[in-house]
Amino acid sequence: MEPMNPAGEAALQAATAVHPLIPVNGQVPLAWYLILATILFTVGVVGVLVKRNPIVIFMSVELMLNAVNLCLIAFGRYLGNIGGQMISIFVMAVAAAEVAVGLGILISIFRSRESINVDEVNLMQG
Amino acid sequence: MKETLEGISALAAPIIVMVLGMVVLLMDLNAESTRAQRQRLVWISLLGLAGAFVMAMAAGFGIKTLPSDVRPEASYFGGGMVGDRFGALFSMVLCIIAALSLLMSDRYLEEKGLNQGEYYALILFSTAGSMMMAYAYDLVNVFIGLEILSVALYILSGFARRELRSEESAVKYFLLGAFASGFLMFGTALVYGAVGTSLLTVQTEVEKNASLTNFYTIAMALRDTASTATPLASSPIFVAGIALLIVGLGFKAAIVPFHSYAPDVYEGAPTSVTAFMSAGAKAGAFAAFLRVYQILLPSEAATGPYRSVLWGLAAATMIVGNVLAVRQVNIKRMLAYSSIAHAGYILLGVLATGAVGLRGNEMDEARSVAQGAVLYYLFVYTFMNLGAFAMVIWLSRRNGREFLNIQDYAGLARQQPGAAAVMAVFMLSLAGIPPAAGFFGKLYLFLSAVNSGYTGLAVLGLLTSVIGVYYYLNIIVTMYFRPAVNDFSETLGGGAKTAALIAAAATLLLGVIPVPAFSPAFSRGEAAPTASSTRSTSGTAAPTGPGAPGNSAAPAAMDALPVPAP
Repeated sequence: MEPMNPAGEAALQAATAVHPLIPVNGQVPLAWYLILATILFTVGVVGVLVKRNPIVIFMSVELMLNAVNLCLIAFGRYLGNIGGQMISIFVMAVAAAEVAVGLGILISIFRSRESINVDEVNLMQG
Repeated sequence: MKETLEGISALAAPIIVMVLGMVVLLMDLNAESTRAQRQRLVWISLLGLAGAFVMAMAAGFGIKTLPSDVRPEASYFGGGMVGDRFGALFSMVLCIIAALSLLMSDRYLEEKGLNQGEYYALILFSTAGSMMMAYAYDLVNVFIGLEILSVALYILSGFARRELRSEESAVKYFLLGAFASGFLMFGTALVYGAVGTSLLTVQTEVEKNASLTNFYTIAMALRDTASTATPLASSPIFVAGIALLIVGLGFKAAIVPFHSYAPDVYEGAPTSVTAFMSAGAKAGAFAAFLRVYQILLPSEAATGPYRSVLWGLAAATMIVGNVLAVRQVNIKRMLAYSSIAHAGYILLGVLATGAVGLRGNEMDEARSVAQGAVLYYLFVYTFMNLGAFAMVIWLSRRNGREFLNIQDYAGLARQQPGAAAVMAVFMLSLAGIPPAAGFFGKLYLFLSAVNSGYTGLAVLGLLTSVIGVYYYLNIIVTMYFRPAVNDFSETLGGGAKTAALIAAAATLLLGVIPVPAFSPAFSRGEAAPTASSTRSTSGTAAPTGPGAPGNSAAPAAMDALPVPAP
């Protein structure tokens, strides 16, 4: 994957002339990264929806955020733009803050009920 | 580009509130603090919020702390924040929300044994995050603001550590909130890539190393690629990105179908936190919603799909919120569903900022009317909704346990006629019955929707508000016409009473004098400011009524949101 910001239209056409999924000059095309990121994101979403342990749910959320990072960095490299890396650092910092608070909440609920299964956390319904 | 701090006072409100939160946190280092010391924290917070309110008002209206043309160039932090009137108005609303919530918290927390300094700091941080969302001009800053808002709210909703319900509320809010931020961020990443890729091939005036998630850049990219073979507006990556953004923001604003967490979280969290959450988080989310929608507006191709999506979301939110509220027996849960319904009305206003089938001046006018209506509604909603929650606290028992069932309020009017009357004001206002401000809020929203060509949705809004009348009046009927079951002679009162009275007074006043304040935004004859002229006139229009910021909110919103016209 080659940054081609300066080259402009000609380079874009050259790279996409074959097929976006076929490697050119042995470089991994952007589309591969995006497909991988989408798969990771989908795995994360499915994990949140089907898992019952809040820790695993939270790990799935982290997987979603890592898909975001992968996507950002791939785009950033492709575009020759520093923004992608910068944003992904923001995402990591925020994810760390969320972990700190989230695990605190989970520990506190575990102390009071000896279980953290989300199916049992259902006092309120309707 | 040289970065300076010149004119940074336009962003004073979030900065003041953030620093204030840190000061409050530091002042409460002593864990053995006494009641009086903690009360001092409340006063300091209120004072600081008043300062932030004044600064926001000064930046928003008239007082020249700003360079004369407020547009993305007069922005800060690499273009990521913009000190405009739109942000200032939201900040003012948020200051009021925070002040009312702090006012109603103090004695309530004391009685529940939860009175700790962190509470105040967290409310302030969360307010600052919401303000940051309103000032943000870059998707990344929207995300950071949203997280500052949310992370503080996760802790706050679980603040009553010994109550299982509060813990449950925190877990649910946290897991779903983190899930939603994942969507928001993936949306941002896709928009980043789509905008960058589209700019590779066209001549554009966007600077080479400009932030690709900046709203200005996105708007320019939409404009510059509109006539090329691969317009950004129809790029599937861009469309997917914006759709994911809508999911992420819709979650924070509790829009159907992303609302499922709201009733549980609102019910379980301490009531003062619920009050803050129901208005504060929504205000921030809708500010971001409006900004994103405004950048898409100039491009018809980009707006089209979102129109229909937002149409569906608004309709579903109004219907589901109102219908499900009817069968609630818990008053906090009922208010949660009612706040979902109100989110639907506000979304209708957001949608109305993009008029169907209008061009040029007429479109700009319709947009400014709708923006004014949304801001006015948020303002009114703040008072009536926080007022209703303040009533729940005011009437709770001395040990801080609230009366949570609607039936518990039976016979209140006999024992506490004053309190019942205040509660009735809020319920009438929420239902949208004339003397109260809620009626005018709804009127302006629906009018602006009709104005912009969303007559069908406005009719749907009217019909669903009729359902709303049922469950709001149900409370009034219970208070006035049912025999008493509880003894209300010993109520908590305190700051909650003050907050409720202030909110009731504001609700009535805004209802009695709304029309003169609104006439500029609603007189069709006047020449509407065009997108380009609004930039230069920012900061000069709209004289403020003394002490009545709501009066000026509407006309002022006319030149909020400086968005480059194509």
